[in-house]
Amino acid sequence: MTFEEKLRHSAPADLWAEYCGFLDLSLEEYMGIQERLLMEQIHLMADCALGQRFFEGHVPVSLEEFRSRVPLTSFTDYADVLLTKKEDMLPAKPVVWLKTTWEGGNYPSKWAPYSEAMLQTYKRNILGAMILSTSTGRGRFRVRPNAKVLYSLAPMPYATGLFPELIDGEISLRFLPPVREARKISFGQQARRGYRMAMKSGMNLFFGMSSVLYGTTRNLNTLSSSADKGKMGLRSILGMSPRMLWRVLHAAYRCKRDNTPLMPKDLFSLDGFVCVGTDTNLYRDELTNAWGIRPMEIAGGTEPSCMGTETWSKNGLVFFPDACFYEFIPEQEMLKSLQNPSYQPPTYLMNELVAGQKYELVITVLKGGAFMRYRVGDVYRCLRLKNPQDNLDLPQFEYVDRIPTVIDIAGFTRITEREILKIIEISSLPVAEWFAVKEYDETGHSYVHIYVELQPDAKQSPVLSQKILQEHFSIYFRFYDGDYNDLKRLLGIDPLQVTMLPSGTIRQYEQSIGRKMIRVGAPQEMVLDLLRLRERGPLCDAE
Amino acid sequence: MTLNERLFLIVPLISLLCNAFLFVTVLSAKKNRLIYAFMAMLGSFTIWCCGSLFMRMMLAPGQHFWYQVSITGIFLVPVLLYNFLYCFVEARGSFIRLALFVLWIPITVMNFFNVFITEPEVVFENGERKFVYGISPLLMIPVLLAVVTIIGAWKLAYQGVKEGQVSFSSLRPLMIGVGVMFVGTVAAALPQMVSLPIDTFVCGVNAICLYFALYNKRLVQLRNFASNGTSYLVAVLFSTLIFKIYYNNFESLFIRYFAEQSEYIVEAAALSFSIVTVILYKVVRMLMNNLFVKSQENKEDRLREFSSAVNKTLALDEVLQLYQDFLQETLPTKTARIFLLDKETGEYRAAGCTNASLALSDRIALDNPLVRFLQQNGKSLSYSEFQRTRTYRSMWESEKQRFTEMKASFFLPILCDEELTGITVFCDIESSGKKCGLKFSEISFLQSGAAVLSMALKNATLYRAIQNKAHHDSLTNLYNRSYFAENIRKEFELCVNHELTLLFISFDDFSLYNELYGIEEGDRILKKFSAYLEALVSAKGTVARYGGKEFAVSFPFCTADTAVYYAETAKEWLNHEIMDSGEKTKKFLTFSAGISSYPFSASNVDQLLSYANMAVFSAKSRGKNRIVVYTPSVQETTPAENSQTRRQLVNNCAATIYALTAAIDAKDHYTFQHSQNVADYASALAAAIPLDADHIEIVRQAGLLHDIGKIGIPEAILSKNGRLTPEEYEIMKQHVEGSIAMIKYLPSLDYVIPSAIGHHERWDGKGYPRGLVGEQNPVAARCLCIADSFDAMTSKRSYRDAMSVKDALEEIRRNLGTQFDPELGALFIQLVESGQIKVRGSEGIRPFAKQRGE
Repeated sequence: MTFEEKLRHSAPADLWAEYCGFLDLSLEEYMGIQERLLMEQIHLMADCALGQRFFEGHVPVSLEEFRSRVPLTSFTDYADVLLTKKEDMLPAKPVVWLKTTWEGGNYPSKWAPYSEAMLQTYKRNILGAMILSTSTGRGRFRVRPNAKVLYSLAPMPYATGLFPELIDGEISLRFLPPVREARKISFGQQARRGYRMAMKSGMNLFFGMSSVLYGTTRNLNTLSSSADKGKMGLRSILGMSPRMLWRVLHAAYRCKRDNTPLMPKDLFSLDGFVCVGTDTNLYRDELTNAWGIRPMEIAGGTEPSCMGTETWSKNGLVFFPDACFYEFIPEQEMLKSLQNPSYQPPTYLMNELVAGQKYELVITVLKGGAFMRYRVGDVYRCLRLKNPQDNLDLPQFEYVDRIPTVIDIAGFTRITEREILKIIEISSLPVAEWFAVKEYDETGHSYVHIYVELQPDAKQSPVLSQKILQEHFSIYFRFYDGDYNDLKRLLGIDPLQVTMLPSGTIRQYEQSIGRKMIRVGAPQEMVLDLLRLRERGPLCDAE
Repeated sequence: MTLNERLFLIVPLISLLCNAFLFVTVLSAKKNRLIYAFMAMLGSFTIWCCGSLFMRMMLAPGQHFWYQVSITGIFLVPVLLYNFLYCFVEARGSFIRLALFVLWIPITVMNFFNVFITEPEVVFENGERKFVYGISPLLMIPVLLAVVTIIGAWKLAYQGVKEGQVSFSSLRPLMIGVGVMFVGTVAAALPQMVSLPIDTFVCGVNAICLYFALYNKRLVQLRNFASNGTSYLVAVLFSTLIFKIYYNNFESLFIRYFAEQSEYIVEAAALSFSIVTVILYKVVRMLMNNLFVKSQENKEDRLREFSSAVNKTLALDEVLQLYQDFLQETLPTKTARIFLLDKETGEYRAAGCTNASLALSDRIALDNPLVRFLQQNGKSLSYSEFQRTRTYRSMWESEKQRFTEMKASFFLPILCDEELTGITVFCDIESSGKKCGLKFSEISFLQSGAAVLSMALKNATLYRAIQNKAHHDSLTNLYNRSYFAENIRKEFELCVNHELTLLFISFDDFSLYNELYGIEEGDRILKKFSAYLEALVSAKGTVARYGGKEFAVSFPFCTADTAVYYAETAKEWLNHEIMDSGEKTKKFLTFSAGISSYPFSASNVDQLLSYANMAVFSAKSRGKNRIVVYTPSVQETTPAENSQTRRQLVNNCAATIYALTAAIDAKDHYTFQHSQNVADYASALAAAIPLDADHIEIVRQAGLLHDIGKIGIPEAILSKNGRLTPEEYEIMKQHVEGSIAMIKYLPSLDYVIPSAIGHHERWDGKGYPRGLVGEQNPVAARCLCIADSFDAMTSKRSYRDAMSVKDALEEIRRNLGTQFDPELGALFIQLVESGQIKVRGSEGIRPFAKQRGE
């Protein structure tokens, strides 16, 4: 029976139990499912060459043994198998391969295999998330067949492109633009065309990256100003459905009367509003204000698939019990291991967490996935261990950011030390020392801030002003890193700031603290201390 | 009467009957608040139709009265409909319901005073009688309230569906019914329809729809139609109709034939009416039973039969077979697989299947989420329902795949004392091309069957456990001797046209091992060896602990080579286990094994056992730690070794035998010479059978020692001239036990006991000391019997002369099949007659010293 048939023939309570019933699990039951499915995965791994590589001849027979014997892994540990798609070495036959950026720049894309069972789980979980996105309380939801969905997420072979493909046989949704059409056009065109279609016929669900949603919202404001000026094309007005036309005219009249900007909420009445990606929290309030409905965040990625979702109260993620087996590295341990890669940090399970603490996520993909004790590179904060208000007995999380050594802007980029070094190298800029951090402007939006010291012989050059340096860096970033280029292309932002430091500042600071400055993702306190050194007065040059 | 007038009578009448019929039916259902709400609503429909009908018929007490009845019924419908839906969707604590009741009561009361509609006036138009009502503008109040009430009812239904209290499909008949009634009522107000009794018609339709909704909700059953009340109602209605139609005919007939008794016409009519009613009642009851009750009764009978059958047996296999038959009969379109808890392995193993062509190798692990779910909930459920549970998320893909392959569609738990002892998995047969679900009644029936089975299973399992205990050795958990003896006979029946091999294993010097390393260590090695041997042999044969240190293994359909292979493998394992134990003290433990096989060496089970035993003795005699295959002919693969071992056997025992025979010689010289003769005759006979060389030697030794017990018999009896008195004979008979009592203290000669003890047994079972029949007595003992009797007859005694050889042989011949083994006796006669056995008798008596050549 498809999801649509279930919608028609089953009681809503049954549907809720099937797709969202995991929210009724006690933590003990949740851990029971996790452990059982982990044991299945261990069995599958034991039978394949990839798993044997990590087990080293001894297959773990218990959860404890698994955690103590199998090392934490990164994509490098799988690269030889996954980049060449050696299917015979995997625990289950992949039915689809999904890709994502490994690191920005010329690095190859990461590939992740998906088995049939993984896809089934993905489908069930994403349908659960869809139900939750339209819910207003436990068991109260509104999903309707033939709903119009504006889908602003990357198409296949990216993980987000899988949703329309999987959902296709389950429920008839009208994607804006249609999936087949979306595959042929760029991400940016897809978003624009989808939005134009939504303006004509309306929409019920909105799936998108937070940053793109934010961009779209801003575009709508632009549209609103043009409407005010009576420039809305006759053709576009004629193409609208009567209902949409009524809404537009009504909204335009009201905005003019009250002298308020046109908001999406004036045009659309959404059943569900789903967003993914970094910095969701930054955009959330603005999006809520604009759309009249609080966006629901879902968590996932190429390697872990759809991993978690918020509930009807939209104030914290709950991880699905059957997508991955979850382990958590506390923030301090994470930092320790980033500084000393040979250090194996301890991990904690879902039932061993502390509320308020930040954790780096470690996953073992279940159901025949390839990744085992894999450090995805995402940091989550455990908001609470249970939520009596929503009657949840499970921990809830919020996505914080990538790990500090990776700078992610708007969910698009993965800027690392290696990438910046490469850009400095190809740009031939006379940079002597540098470090980069992710910072936020007064409106709360993120950008990359690179602090540079020029080589002593170049510092007197009049052409090397701060502004020129910044533009120079920006050009090379866009040239070298396609993801960064997309930021400019899709969102119209260039989130880069360069600050020149007097020569020797970084060395002096390193001497004062007795260790090297962290090149990417240094803690804010370190940056402040270093800048304080600069302000103290003339410094001795390095020469 | 015009057509319209007829319609206004017929339609309300049908509706009235319909409502009344349903009302009576519901009376016999189990009451709850929903049933009461339904009855209240049926009541309002009934009085509506009844009032309308009787008003048209102008029945007493009058038009006014029936009008009020009818209009009250109409006014009550909205609020009672709301109440019914309220109960149907199981809503709770509604203020609106209370408010509606509070509002409708005064409106209904006001209606009595014609506030909204005036009483109808009868007018005649075109010869047709019509009722004309006067409508007040205030009518809008109850109309609006009715609309609000019906909207409220719809809202309740919508919320019920939304919140999952009821499914949309269960509400469908209600929605159709109410919709039809609403449309009908509105239509009745249209000028085109005003001349039709459409309102009372839809009232009947609505009642049927609501009844169907309740039936779907399993609150009323079709068998309620077959209640006494409904049968009476139908019978009375029909008999009234018959009476009404045929009364005139009846009257004229009565007057014509019974004119003189015309004053009794009323009584006669009443009697006839009663008889017709009773007959009709009987017929209706029978029809109703056949229509609605028969199938239920059939089911109950089937369940009763099943219950009675399973309670009559304690055999698990039979119980399962009965259950399979029950399932097959109940659900012929489904395949049912029965999984039973195996506490030893901790999993549910397939124990039966209604489709015999399916393999029974399936298992459901104890930690399978389905098991946990069924254990916790104790209720049956479909696979699709299970897929909706959160427990399903923890299923392994392989487990899901197995259920999919099975085409599992429904799970029925078998619970006993809150323990899940079994699971019945129903699988779809795809012949129809579409999956069929189970009805509620079928599920209930199956659950009853499972409950009956659970008790029977408990008893059968307990019985099997006790039986197992009786069949198993407590230390090693192998089968014990008694079970093995029983089982090998069954195997023999199976293998009568094939091969059956028996392997006996006896640990060498096990008492010494126990003494040296302790009994715990002895028990440990016994247990470990047992486990290994059982795993090694596996399904190839049956392993049993035959004695304290002895094991027996039967290999059906196998030759001796198979047994040799397994014995050698077990020997290697034991050697490895003992020698490589890693302990400082090197231990030493070996075993001797004897093998006999049918039909190569033995021809029946007793021989098989006896020869395997002999082979063990032979192995022990040859120095232990070896495997000996019992071979009937003296075919020595290595003659030198065989003669050497035989000599060794003779040498080993010679000294003991010498000492014993010397003692008897000293006391009773006749017995000494007799024993020598018996030994010679019996061994010659054994060689001619032919028996194994070692076996022949055992026969010879048994011959020498068979009368050794006579040392304990008083000399007066031994050397008495003349016949023994019965008392003396009883004492004399004790020499057999005496012989055994002496030999059993000589471990090196204990193997002759079975032969020696049976030399006074008879083929017909009348011998002593054990009264063994036929081949129950070992072959060596039967040889001794013949040799002993022959020598006794041909020897001269102080109280009689020696019998001639011919007479003695004739005597043996006469007693073949009674005293003697017919085949062996015939062979012996042939040997003597052909001169292969030289008769020595008393003439051959020589002094003992002379025999030794001194």
